[in-house]
Amino acid sequence: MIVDTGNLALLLALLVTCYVVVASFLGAWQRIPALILSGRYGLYTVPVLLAISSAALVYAFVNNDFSVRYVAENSSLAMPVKYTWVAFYAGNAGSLLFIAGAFSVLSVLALFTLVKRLPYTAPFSTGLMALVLAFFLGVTVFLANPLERLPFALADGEGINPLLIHFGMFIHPPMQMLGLISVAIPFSIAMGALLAGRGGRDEWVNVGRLWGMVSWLILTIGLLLGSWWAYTILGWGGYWAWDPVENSALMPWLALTAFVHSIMVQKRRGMFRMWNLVLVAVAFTLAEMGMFINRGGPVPSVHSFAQSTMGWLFLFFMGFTLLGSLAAFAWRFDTLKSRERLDSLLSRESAFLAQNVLFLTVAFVTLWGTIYPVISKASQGLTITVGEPFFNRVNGPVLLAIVFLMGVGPLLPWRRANMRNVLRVLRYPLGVAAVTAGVLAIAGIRAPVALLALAVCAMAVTGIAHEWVRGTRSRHRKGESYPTAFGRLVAANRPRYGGYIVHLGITMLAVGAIGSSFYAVQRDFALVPGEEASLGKYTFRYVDFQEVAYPDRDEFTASFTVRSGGRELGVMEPRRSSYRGSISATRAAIRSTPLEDFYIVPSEFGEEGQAVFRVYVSPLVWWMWVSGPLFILGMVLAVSPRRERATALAVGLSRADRAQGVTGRRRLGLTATRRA
Amino acid sequence: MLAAILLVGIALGCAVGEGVPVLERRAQDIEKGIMCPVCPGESIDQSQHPLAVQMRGIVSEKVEEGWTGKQIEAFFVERYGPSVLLDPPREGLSLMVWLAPPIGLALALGALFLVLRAMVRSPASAAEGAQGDVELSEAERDEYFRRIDAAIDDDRGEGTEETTGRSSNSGAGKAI
Amino acid sequence: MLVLIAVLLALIPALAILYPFLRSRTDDIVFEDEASTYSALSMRWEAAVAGIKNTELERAIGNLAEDDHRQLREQYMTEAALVMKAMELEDQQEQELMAGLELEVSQVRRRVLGGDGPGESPGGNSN
Repeated sequence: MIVDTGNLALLLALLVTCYVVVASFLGAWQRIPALILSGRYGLYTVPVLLAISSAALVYAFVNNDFSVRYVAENSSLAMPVKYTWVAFYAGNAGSLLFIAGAFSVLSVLALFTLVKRLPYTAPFSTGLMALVLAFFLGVTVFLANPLERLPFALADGEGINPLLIHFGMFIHPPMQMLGLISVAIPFSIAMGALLAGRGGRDEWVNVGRLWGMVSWLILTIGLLLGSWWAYTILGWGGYWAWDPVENSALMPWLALTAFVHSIMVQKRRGMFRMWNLVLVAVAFTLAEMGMFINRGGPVPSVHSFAQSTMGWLFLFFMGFTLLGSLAAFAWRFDTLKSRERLDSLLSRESAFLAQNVLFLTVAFVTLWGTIYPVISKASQGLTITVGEPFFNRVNGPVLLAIVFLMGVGPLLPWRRANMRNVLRVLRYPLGVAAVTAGVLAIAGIRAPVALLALAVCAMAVTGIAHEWVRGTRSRHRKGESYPTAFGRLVAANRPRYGGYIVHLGITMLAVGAIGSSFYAVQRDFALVPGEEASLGKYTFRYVDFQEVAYPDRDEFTASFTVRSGGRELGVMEPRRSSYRGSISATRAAIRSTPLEDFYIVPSEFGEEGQAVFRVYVSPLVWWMWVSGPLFILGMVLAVSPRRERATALAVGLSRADRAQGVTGRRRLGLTATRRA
Repeated sequence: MLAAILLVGIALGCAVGEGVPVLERRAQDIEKGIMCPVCPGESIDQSQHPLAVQMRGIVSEKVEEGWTGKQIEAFFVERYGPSVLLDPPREGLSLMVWLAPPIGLALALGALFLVLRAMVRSPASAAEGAQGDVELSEAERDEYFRRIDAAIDDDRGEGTEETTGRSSNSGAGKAI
Repeated sequence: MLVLIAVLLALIPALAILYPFLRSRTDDIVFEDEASTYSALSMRWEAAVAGIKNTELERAIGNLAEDDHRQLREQYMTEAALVMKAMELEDQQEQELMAGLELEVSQVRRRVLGGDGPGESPGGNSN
């Protein structure tokens, strides 16, 4: 009964969403307020309906209703109830429902921020969001319904994929799916503005930027958590392998990063209007590409967990998005002209554009490498693998150039910079970079690329820190104490300093990536309990091992005592679980310090605890995981609303007067804003 | 000072390279470039699949026998086909994989430069861009400037720098 | 039972969708917030003020050379002043228009009804 209710709600949600698409576009086109409003209210009910469906699915999971196919495939009697959350999106059908539900909530939230500020754009954006939602709901209802019943109830389910039993799995997949789909929000806002013929007015920019950044943050956290999960559980000591699925989440992130930067140029200068629309359309297309690859695309990957033909439907939708955006451009091209020109080749604006080019380059190199196996299969008849070494070698230098630009760009003033001044400002960061390289070289780092990369990171950090110091000092000279000066400086320029905090986080990521990819050391040791071995300065003794049988798995835990330079570092316990059905999962034991990680992971355990252990010493990885909070802090700071104060009053008219003026105009039936 | 300590720390952290025999290092480097044929996308270095373990064994054996990396790769290509290499070959049609990104980047940077140059305003259009259809007389200008300054001053604490009379005067001294 | 549930479920979106059509005055709802919309002018104003502030900041930090600072500030100030003037002109016209219209309406009212209701004007018939 409850499952049927959920099914009904799902079907109803699809119908309502389709109605919203029609009502919103028709209403916006014909300017029928009641129809527009009806569409909007209709969309407001979709999250409610999807909540009912989701609740029904959860109910089926919790009550072990194995007459529901999806439940039977993704859980079992042995599965602890808390893993219901994970099982919900463990398969194709459930993750589609999750995406649709999450997106419906995001759309409603986005609409709340839209309708007041962009009355003309909002109906079009509503229609676009509903269109995306309708696609997902359609696929869910007709091709992968998680509430579909089996002809008979099974006694027990197949159980959850053991690789998913990890803390990171509670957050990483939903974050990733949410991140990918959330790109549709800034896309709908921007394209809505374009369709409404208001792309050339910059009114959509603030909301578009807000949602672009929200989406960016979700994607970032999803990526970080995914890497962290790979690092702790996949047991190969790495965190990023340029796997197609990883790439598919990275590509929209890259395009979105370009977008949240270049949108600032439109906000500040009214320029790059067309370019921003292109960027957001590219970001959304790449996000769809990501979902396509996730859903059984043609590219072989470790975690394409849902093989199915529906992937091609996603490809079709992606093409539709791309062509639709192009058509919208062609149609509204004339509305996008900018009043402004660029003052100087050397300016913040051009730095942003250069940044965009570099980010898009990384995105397209990644895309190229990801789909090349398919291309070569089609063109040469044989699959050419494009793996990690390719991406590292090609993207590495571009990423380094990006970090370099991150050090220089923020120091370039808007509109025009003069070379002499830039060099004057740059002398500290460059000096620090040189000193860094020198110190590191003396201390024993010899690889020129690593030296260069670390020096560039030092430059970027110094640039940021130095600017903070200079800004604070300049306020201090006006009589504020240092802490006040610093606080006010940041509070008064939130987008700027929020961005810098995010930049610090990126530098930390870069440092971690450099350290671990140039200087990680690994070695395999075959040990039996009682034996001792050492790697670098670490000496570790395999003390004991334990085998525990659970209903669904055998769990082997080894315990090591670890010493370093005569100091006891305590006990480390790597673990390996063999599940019935021959899947196994490892859990690495990691001792993490800011300097380096010491990492032990077991492979198969043999007689009497004999096993091969892979041991890593991976420098600076710690920095990658702690950059997460900086991203959140920086983003929140950058989008936090500023109190709109006296500047609006400057005109000498009270706010009420102006509001009345505009209201009056509307009452008179004049279309002043439309005309302008 | 703090930074210096950090730097030395980084260097020390990164300098633990010792402890792994040279041959084993070489074997690892080779393993990282060979894909495990049954677990797509993973190198035999990463994978814990029995086949990968077996292939790792072969690699270290060959390395000890003095085979070069190329020879070992050729050995696996012969057995599993060219897709076993994670790195696309740098010859024939596959050279395209390697050449496309740098060419693309060069074209993009060229386009960037051309676009930027085209966007740089010529001195003549500068005044026109700022003006629009409203005009200001000298007196109006001073009056408006005063009010704008006042408005921004009002934002003190929120604002960045207080606008001093000095800068607005110096601005006013320079008529458009 | 299931039919009842279906009806109840369908009632949720149906009510929401039909509500706007059942209301007597709908045309006010969608565009009523136009007053809070950024008009082109106020956006230009904000951009100019942000420009001025940012110019000051960049000079204080030392990123912007004195010369450039003077020129940029001048440009932003001029832009702000122009916007201000344009806004004032617009408001002036607005008030004149409103006053004229109110006068007209009250005249019409006086003529037709002989009463003196508030000068609220019906939409769309002027201009």
